[in-house]
Amino acid sequence: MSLEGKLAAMRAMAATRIPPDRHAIMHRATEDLRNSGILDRIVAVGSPAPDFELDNHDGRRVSSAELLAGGPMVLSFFRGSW
Amino acid sequence: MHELEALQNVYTDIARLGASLVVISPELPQRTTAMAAKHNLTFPILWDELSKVAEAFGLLFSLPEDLKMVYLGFGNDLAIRNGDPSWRLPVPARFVIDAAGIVRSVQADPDYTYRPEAETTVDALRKVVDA
Repeated sequence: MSLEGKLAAMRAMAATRIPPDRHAIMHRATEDLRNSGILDRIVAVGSPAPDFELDNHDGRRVSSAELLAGGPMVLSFFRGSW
Repeated sequence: MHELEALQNVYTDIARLGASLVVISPELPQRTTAMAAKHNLTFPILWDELSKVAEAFGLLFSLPEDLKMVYLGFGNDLAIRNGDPSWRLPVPARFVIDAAGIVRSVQADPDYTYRPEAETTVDALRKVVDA
């Protein structure tokens, strides 16, 4: 199944399991975030990516400079395991 | 979670194109370690303490008070989970960055319930590699 297929199933489940008042708050927060113009503030195509140096979850230090020395990078920002 | 599994499924394709795959998360590393083990995730998942890197990429936002109460009602205390009292999160986003450090592709949606297919990111990477 495609990722979107799995996510669509999760959205359908959330709509039945989450009480409507809470669901409405979540939905409005998403729309407010969209309308805040945040997408226009994200580092854009053609711009230099900010450098970073962070710890992997196993404690190993990883830097963007080191990774890019080996080639391009796919970088994904995640919200959390919850 | 489904998104990380989808990225795991294309990790070999990304590596074959000579690129790295990195995930950045605000969540405390202990929880990330447990998640990575459970789902057999083998790429680096870096801890963005206080979401400073997410902020540098322009992705960070503060959760409104009513949403914070909803999350707490679900038993999801982000201050504890992330070791950050600020209740901020990144917009989920995927970047392809070329070897010169220039952003070549951005996929981001303020609605976290939508994520791009991993294959579309691999296609964007392929264009960068072929350029």
